[in-house]
Amino acid sequence: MSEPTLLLKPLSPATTAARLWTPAGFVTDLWRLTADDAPFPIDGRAIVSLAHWRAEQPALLATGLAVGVLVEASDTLDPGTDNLERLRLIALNFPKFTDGRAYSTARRLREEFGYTGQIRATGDVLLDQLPLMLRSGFDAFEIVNAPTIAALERGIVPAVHHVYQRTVTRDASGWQPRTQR
Amino acid sequence: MYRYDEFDHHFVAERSTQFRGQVERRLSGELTEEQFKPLRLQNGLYLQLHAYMLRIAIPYGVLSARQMRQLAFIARKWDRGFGHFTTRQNIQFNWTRLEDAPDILDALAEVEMHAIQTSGNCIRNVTADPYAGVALDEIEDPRVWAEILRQWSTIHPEFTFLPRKFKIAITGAAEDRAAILFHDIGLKIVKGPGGKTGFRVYVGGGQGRTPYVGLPITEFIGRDRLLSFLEAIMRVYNLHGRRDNIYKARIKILVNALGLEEFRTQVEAEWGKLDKPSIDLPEVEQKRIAAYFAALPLKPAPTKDARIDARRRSDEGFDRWMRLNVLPHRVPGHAIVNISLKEPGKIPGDASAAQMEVVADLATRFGNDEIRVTYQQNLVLPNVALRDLDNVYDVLVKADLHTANTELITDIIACPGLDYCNLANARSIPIAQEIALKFADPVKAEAIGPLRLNISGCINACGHHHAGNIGILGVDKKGTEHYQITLGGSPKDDAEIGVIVGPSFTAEALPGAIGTIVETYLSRRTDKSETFVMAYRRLGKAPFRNALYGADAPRGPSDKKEPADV
Amino acid sequence: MPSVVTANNLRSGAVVYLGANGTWVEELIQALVASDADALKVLEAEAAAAVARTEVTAVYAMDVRFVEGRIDPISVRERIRAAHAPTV
Repeated sequence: MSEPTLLLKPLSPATTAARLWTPAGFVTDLWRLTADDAPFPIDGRAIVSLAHWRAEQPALLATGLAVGVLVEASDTLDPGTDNLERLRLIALNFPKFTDGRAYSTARRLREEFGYTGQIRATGDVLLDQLPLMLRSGFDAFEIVNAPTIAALERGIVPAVHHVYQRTVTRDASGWQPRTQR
Repeated sequence: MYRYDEFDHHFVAERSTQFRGQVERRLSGELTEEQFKPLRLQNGLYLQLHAYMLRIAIPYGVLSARQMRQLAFIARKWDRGFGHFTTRQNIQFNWTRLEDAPDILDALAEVEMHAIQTSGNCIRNVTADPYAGVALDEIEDPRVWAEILRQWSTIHPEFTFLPRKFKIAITGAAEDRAAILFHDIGLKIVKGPGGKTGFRVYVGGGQGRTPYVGLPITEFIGRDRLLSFLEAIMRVYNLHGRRDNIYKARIKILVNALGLEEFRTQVEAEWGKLDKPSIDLPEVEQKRIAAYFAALPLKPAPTKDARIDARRRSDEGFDRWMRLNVLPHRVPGHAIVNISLKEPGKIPGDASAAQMEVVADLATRFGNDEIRVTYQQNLVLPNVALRDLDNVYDVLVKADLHTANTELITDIIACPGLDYCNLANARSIPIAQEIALKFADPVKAEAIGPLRLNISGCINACGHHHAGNIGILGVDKKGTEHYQITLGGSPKDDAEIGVIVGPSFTAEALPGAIGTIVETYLSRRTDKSETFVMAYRRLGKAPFRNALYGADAPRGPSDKKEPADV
Repeated sequence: MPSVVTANNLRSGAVVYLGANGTWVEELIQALVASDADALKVLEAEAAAAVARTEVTAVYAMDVRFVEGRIDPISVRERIRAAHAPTV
């Protein structure tokens, strides 16, 4: 017997053109995702695939463009060979919001690899996960989910003032304010 | 026990407010079911067969009398007057409404409780030895670390969308009463170099479709580094656990695919890179939390009480209850009292609101206000003076809570099964009732001796069938409920996974089959000191199989041939 | 095989069946029965609209048969759901 397969897929709410949100509000996205076989943009900033970056680092850097990479959830970054310090942006993709691998990748980037550029969340980025992403080291969010954009436009960000762990943002974790009393 | 400080209160209030907003957004259509489901699950709310089910966390199985009264209040106000204690030391309400869930969470917050992370692919409620802090064989009270782990794992930003759910159990005693070897992570407090206490850490245990007994990833980790070590394990699992198949997504699959050595190497490499001081708990904070669990100032008292002894001689029922349900306490003249929620014929683990209030009142009057929930779905009064035991018993009798069957064949673990659960393949509760009634004669049940009988209504194994000395698994066979029997499982330090004895049985044939197994054991055991599981280990499954199916039945665990009705 | 569209009421979680005129009914006897795949498609479209209106959730079709004029679910699970209560 077990749980029946739902016949009717839940209706997804409309998605819309991507908007870039940061804790300071919506901002203009100057970056362009550039396909592996496409010419580099003449000006602006190019986000390329990790495979492309790994194969064409010298050529990409020679363009003088600011380069970012798109990292899929299954990718593992290698701080030894990936020259992360040359990247101005690392976009971590959420294929589904329930796929939590990028949280670990973001924390590794910030805490183990010392990466200081933009860490951007892309893919299935939704309102209720923003606090988790912020606390894991993300600082920019490419959002296509219409209700999420609408909520952020109204200034609604899920409030999280109390957390038990320090993590990337070095929040005053549960035990710190207590021990400093 | 632990008490919320201002910080914890604010945390839970904030989460409750957040969930109220999420429910509103779901009802308005802003959130689809697909988007809402993980949010409601992280607040313990499931959609079951007949209604929403709210699973409330009872951290490491510890409840105050006041909290128990509030659970009774919730049962009356928002449910149908009862609740179901689970194998994860939690309580579930089976008949709640989505619209009421935020109010229930507020009512819980009033008594320092919540439903956070009782579901979803996150670190679930940490479970512990139900006799923590009072057991004779304890090295150190595991509640301190269970509470620390509760705080550490609560809305951990990195580990809220794991490949699959994650269960941690901890014991501080010599005897494992928390089934730690059947958890994703099992922690055993041990003495390390120089006599300091720390943890032996097991990883990759679990039941479900592919059961494994946990493997030791480290023999000893100091207290000052436990959290960072666990964080390294979690990160390796989060990054590398399978996400393509939910049946292969638990950490046990990763550990077994990599092998323990390689898994350990990866964890240690990750651990080496972590900023440990930002993760691990400073000693001052460990001490602050430990202070909540300071031993009660119980006065040692005589270990004999003339009135109690006289009652035992004159009242067979009381004597049996004393023998089976009352355990020694670390303070002389005191006792640990098991309250069975397994009256034969009733639903295992269910308690009415009135019964919850009776237990709460007993805790207040005789038990220093404390109650425990066991993973065997019973309740415990951990601190009762010997001289009060007859009074406690008399109150329990009036509430039908005096069944004396701890660890006996009628002390059955059973999941809700197909009567309530959306995932079940077959009913568990009526099977448990039938079997318990078959062995309801307390003299007979006690003569059989310790015997764990566990029932799950599907392969997810919430009813711990793999770990039962006799395990029963409900399966769906062409639209009818059948039951597969496993033998020889054990949840304790000698943890073992039960072995399928042969083809499955219909519901009608099952009690007879269990009877045959028990008769076989009784006729073959060396004497009463050889328990069922000891006898099984000596004899193997052949005599049981032959008794069930006949000596010429096909061998092997295949389920191809229908058994003769026995 | 004849089938019925079932769901849970979004607010209460109660078991419901798609009845006449797009209403949701708790008693199986009042449910609309689709006798073939085309009829089922019509019911499913109505159910999808109800999901969008946030009336119900967890919608699916279940097989039924007629026994003495009553609609009888095939599976044990659906018989338990239709009773709105556990069997114990």
